[in-house]
Amino acid sequence: MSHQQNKQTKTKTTEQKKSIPEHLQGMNKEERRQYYQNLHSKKGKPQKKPQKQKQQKKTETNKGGSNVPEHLKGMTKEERRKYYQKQRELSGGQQQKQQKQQKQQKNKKVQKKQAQKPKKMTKEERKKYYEQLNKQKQEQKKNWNQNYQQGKQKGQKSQDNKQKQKTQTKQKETQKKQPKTNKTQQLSDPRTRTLTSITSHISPFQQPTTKESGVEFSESVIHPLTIELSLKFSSGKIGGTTGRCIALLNLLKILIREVTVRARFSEDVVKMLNRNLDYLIKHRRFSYTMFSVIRTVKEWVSRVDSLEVKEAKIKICSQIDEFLRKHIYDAEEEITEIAWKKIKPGDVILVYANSRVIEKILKKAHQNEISFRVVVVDSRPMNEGKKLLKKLDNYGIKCSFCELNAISYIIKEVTKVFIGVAVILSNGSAVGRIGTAIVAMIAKRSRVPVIVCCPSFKLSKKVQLDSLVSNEHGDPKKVLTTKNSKSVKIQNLPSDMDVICLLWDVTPIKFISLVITEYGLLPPTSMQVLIREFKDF
Amino acid sequence: MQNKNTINNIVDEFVRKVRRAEITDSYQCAVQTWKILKLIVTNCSEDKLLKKTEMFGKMLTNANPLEMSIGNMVRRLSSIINKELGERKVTKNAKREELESTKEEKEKKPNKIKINQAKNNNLLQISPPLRNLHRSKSLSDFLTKTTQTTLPSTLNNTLFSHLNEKSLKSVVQKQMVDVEEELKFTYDAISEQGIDLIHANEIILTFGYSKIVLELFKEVYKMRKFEVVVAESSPSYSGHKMAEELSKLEIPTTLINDSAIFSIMSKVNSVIVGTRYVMANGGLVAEIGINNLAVAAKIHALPFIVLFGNYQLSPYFPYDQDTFNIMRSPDEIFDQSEMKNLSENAQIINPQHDYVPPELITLFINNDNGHQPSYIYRILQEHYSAQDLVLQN
Repeated sequence: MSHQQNKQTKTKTTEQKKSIPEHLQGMNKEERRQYYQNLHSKKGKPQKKPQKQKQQKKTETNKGGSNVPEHLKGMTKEERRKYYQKQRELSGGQQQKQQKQQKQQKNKKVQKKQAQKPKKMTKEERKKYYEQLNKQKQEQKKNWNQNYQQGKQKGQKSQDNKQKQKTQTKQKETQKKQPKTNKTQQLSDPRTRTLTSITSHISPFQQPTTKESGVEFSESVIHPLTIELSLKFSSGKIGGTTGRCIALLNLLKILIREVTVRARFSEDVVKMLNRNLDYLIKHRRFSYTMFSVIRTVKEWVSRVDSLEVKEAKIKICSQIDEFLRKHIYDAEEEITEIAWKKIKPGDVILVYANSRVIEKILKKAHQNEISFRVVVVDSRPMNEGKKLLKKLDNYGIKCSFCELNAISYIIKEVTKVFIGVAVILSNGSAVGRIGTAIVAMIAKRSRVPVIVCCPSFKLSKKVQLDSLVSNEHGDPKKVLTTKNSKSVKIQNLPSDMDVICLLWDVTPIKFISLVITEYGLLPPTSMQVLIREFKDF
Repeated sequence: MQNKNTINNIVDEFVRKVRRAEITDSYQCAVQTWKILKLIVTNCSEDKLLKKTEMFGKMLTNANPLEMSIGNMVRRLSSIINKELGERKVTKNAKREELESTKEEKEKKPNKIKINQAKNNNLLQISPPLRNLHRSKSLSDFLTKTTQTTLPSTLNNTLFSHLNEKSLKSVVQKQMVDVEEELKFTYDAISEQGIDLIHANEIILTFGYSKIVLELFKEVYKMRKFEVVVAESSPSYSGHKMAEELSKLEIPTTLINDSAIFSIMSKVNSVIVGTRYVMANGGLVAEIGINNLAVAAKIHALPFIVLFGNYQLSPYFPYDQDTFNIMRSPDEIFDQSEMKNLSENAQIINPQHDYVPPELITLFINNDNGHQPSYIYRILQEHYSAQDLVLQN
């Protein structure tokens, strides 16, 4: 090492003396050194600095600097020279090998390769080696998350900075382009626009697909009937509130019947139910009645632990059957019995969208040979009135059909309005299909009584003053697709345009005249009493 | 004459287009009728002005009686002519009075002579009191019956020809040019007033497509930033077009269904709407569905603002949904393929217009100014003369 450097220095000193540039000839060595130091510092080559300085220092001092080995420090230059000459004479060809090895050692790549070469180890050494490797991997895994997040934050910060710079430049450009006005306000960001921000708490619409995540055919199995139901819900084949409740209850019966219980009955059943219901809810949000039904079934399940598995299953299935019979089928029959008598001959009855109960009422009245006619009102986006029109027409009832916009045209002929409902709240207002509020409002204005028919399982303790507090988003495509071919397509929606498709509506209590439940005819103000006194669940 | 033939051809073409509903926009109808009327006036002698306007007016309005903008423009013209004639008569009578007052001073019986003279001159108008020529008009002018004015040609030529410094025709043509300019600048005049209606960061609800409303939003958005909610109006779905055009102007818009009007009304600040026609009692004959908006706005105590141009003012009194309504084809609501499954008893109803009573409207905005609905009859008076309220056959 040392003798090579000495060689280099010797060669350099001779070269330096010969090749001093013209602009530096007047300077001393020290001045030249300072000049070169400044140059090197500007160029930013710190690594070479100390080496060059050391080399320059060596030329000055004859007694060894830092690079002289210990066993040779005492000697002067000439003595060292003789020592090295002797060694060269002794070792002829070995110098080249030594030089090669030294060069290789300098190269880092070669060092790595040598490290990667498998060393000859015994079994024990290999075991230890692999244990160390595993430990290192585990530590890396633990640290990976931290490192990843740190890296993310750094990346985000840099991206944010970039975006900020971009927006700043854009703002400057736009400010220059805009004409000067007295009152300039910032353009509202479309994402923070008020109407869409008001409805942002409502979960957005989910497209119906079968590629839902979570269907892993391993420990967690989802019953094929839930998958079938989920598709029916999302496509709209099973639509109304009672219809969905009935379908859900039947599904729960089948699930509970087919459950395999390993440990406790209640735990396993609840787990299984949660799995299936989580899958179902992704396709279409449950209504309030469905949530309350699920709650009651889970309560029944929790009370049945004392019994054997078979008996428990039988009990719960019978409870579900009783619920269906009592609260849905029998209730609907009683309501029809009460309500069809309210239809007098010569009546013109207005009906909005589709409802099971009201269809039954009108059918029964027609069967009892009362002469009346029906006006069916329909609206977008769901267009459910057309189904009801077809059914009533098949029964032989005289029907007319119009759209929601034309209701103020047709209300002068109407004597009574019958409405079906999703939920009746404890403050007496009703949650129904979107548009029922308009029907009730116009009927009230024309002094036509509004009659709401609903079974008692649709009553809830909830209170809601506003339609936007809890609602459901529908498919925005339904708003945009029209018979006109010129309407906007959802792919080409311009940036400043938004589409909102709401599905539910709150009709305030002042528009409702009468509520018909299986317990009788009641004003809307006594709904809270019904909930308190009569509701089982 | 060649002029007559060309005019007849033009009129026939226009009538044909209106009958086939190739022109449905009431503004376009008004503009084109005014052009035709201008042609008629230029190619007509002064004697026959009124007759010709009546004749062509009948032809034009019978093309589509429900397209009231045509009738309104015809009324404008005839009212211009009649007012001019009335004023000339007033000046004539005033001068006659001056001539005769010298005689009266001698005879000292002014009133009786006037009445006698009026009775003698059956052809002349029973005009309002002659003293105040520039008196503002009152209800009595609106309600008094007036016979038709036809000046006998002798009077015109001989005695009082020196009174007519400008010919009738030139005056009428000047006023027609004024009306044409007013038509042209309706959008600008209305949109200037928009800044009094809208404050910053407001949410405004509209219904369907209306060019007047678009222009107003365009003008106001330069000064103040706000947001618009558009209700697609079925079955025409013109709301989609409106939303598209608004978003091109970089106004943030949201499109909703008609059924969502009530649920969103509580979050909205005001309702601004255009109509088809404004009627004499202050009510509207508008696109189907606007009555729902008006009632909902009343319940939520929001201002319901209506923009209209003078060509939309019509002097009829509706009281009902049926009086100025027409039924459209059920195809627009119901697919024909589904209709086959229905029995004969089923009816499908698709009316075109909706009547909004004046109690539901808070403000009308016109070319000139903002008005209460109870003031609309006065504007009618200004534009149309009393005898033209019902176009005589």
